[in-house]
Amino acid sequence: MSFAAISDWHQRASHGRKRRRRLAWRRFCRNGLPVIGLAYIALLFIVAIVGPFVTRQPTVNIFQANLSPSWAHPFGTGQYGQDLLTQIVRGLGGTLLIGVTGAAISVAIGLIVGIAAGVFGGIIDAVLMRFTDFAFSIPTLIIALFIVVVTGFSAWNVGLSIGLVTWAGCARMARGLALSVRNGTLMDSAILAGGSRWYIATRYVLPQIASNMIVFFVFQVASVLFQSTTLIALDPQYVPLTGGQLPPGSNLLLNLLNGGGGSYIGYRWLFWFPLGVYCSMVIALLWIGDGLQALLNPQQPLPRRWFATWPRLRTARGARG
Amino acid sequence: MPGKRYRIIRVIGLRIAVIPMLLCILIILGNALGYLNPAATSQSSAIPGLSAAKPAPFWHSVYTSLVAIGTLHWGTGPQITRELVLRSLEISSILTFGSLFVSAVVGIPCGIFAALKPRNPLWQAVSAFCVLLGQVPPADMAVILIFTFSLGWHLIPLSYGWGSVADAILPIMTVACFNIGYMVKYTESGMREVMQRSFIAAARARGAGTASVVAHHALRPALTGLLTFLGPQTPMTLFCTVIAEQAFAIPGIGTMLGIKVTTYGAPAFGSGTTLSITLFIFGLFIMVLNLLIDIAYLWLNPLAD
Repeated sequence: MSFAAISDWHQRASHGRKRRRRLAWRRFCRNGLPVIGLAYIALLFIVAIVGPFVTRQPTVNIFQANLSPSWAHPFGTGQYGQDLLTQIVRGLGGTLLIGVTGAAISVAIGLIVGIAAGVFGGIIDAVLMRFTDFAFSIPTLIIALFIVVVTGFSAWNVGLSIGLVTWAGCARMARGLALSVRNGTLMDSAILAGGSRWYIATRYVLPQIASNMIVFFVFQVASVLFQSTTLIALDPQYVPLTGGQLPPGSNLLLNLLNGGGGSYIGYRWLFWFPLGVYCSMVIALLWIGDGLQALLNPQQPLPRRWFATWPRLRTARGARG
Repeated sequence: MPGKRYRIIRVIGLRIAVIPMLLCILIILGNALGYLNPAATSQSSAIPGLSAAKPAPFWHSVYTSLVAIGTLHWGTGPQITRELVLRSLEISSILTFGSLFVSAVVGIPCGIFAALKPRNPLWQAVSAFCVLLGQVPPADMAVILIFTFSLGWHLIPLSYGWGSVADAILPIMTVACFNIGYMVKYTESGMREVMQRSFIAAARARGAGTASVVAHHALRPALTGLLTFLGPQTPMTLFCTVIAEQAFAIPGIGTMLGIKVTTYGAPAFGSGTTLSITLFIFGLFIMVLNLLIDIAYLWLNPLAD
């Protein structure tokens, strides 16, 4: 075998990788919804980042109160005359922050617990899994509410508190995946090669379960957002500790969502616009999650394509030396 | 199947034995968290002229919780008697189980039809709509339902509080809307997966019709996936019940949170006793719900023995 043959093998492997990526992307785009969701979430992130720089804090003007949607105020104005669109744009960042922070913390804790349980096994596995079972059966939102009450009401603290109590599902899933990796032959070869537990956990187990965890993360963001609406509906800011004042930095979409119900009669835009933005955000996240699940599942049939958009990469076997 | 029955009884017995232990841990956790709360001891939250509440000793909450919800001393507020606690537990049980029943009755058939008819736009739209319903926050869903069914179409009389059957309809619908979303989603995905298995093809080859295949072969394995998801979801169902109770002014388990109650000078939420008893009552509810779901799982899962 000549050197050329080896180099050709490498080329074919790289082509195969490219082809697998294209197929994965096609599975992701299978029914179009995940792409729409991805574009929508990207748009929301851009608005959330750029928005506070191009808008001003909405001013209070009671002569402009409760105006219906118009060209000057596309989403109408609120109870004190603030522009609702500006409020939503400025509150979007905190809301996304809650979702991403909460999901990141819960996935991080769940990964650590789950991989430790899966890799070490034995008594550590048993103890950690009983602990996880306990975390499943406690009223998590009460503890989250308590953390918010003690640490103060802000987007960071809401995300942190929800993340600290909702890791159990991630831990159970990570343990199951880690066990499936551990029972394969790859783990035997890693142990025979002299890898430590830390090395095996970070270099062998984590990369193999990372893709599933990304899917879980996306669904978890939606779940954390839903839980934060419930948490905020319980009104932690009106607990006597915070003095009944809306603290600074709590300009959230979720607050608008909570306050809109009272003005449903007569001023329906105050209810429907924040709810619409919130629901479309969560549905877009669910679509992305579904697309990622399809991406990771190669057994799902792809729709037939009527024409090929990329050139044939695999040449005839006889053409190669 | 005596083997399966024995296994189910053993697993359930173990679960029941663990519940008191977990409840004790919850009481200790509540007390530990209560000592972290600056409001429990500081004067800052007190009304001027009144002294702040003294934190209750540790044994107080253990005693009050472990005498199985006897006469509770609720912060510095009114005495909450056993009758009141049991009544609120009863109301919340009706709401929670009623909503689970309604969402199962509506959601599981929708999921099955959406899985069996992937090309039918009507069932796909129904499925997507149910998933959307599940994402609407319960506080807003309560507002939508009140304004649609009570004030808009005058189908259900609007009355706050608890007393008649009509009072339970809208709260149950509010919580059921949350549950319907994932019931449809997980039934649909489970049913899609099961219908591709070989034993379904075998049953079809033996001449069974679609209804028979779904009812006798596919439904049980398809529902196990839903039940594994339902277990971790019970706390969220309970909190949706609490939100619905707040929206419709129903004196259920939500009053235990003591948040909307103004207790002058006392920490309304966060002292060790209050927190541990709240955790105790909510934890008891969630553990009983989880136990019932485990029983249903063992009963439904064909691989249980």
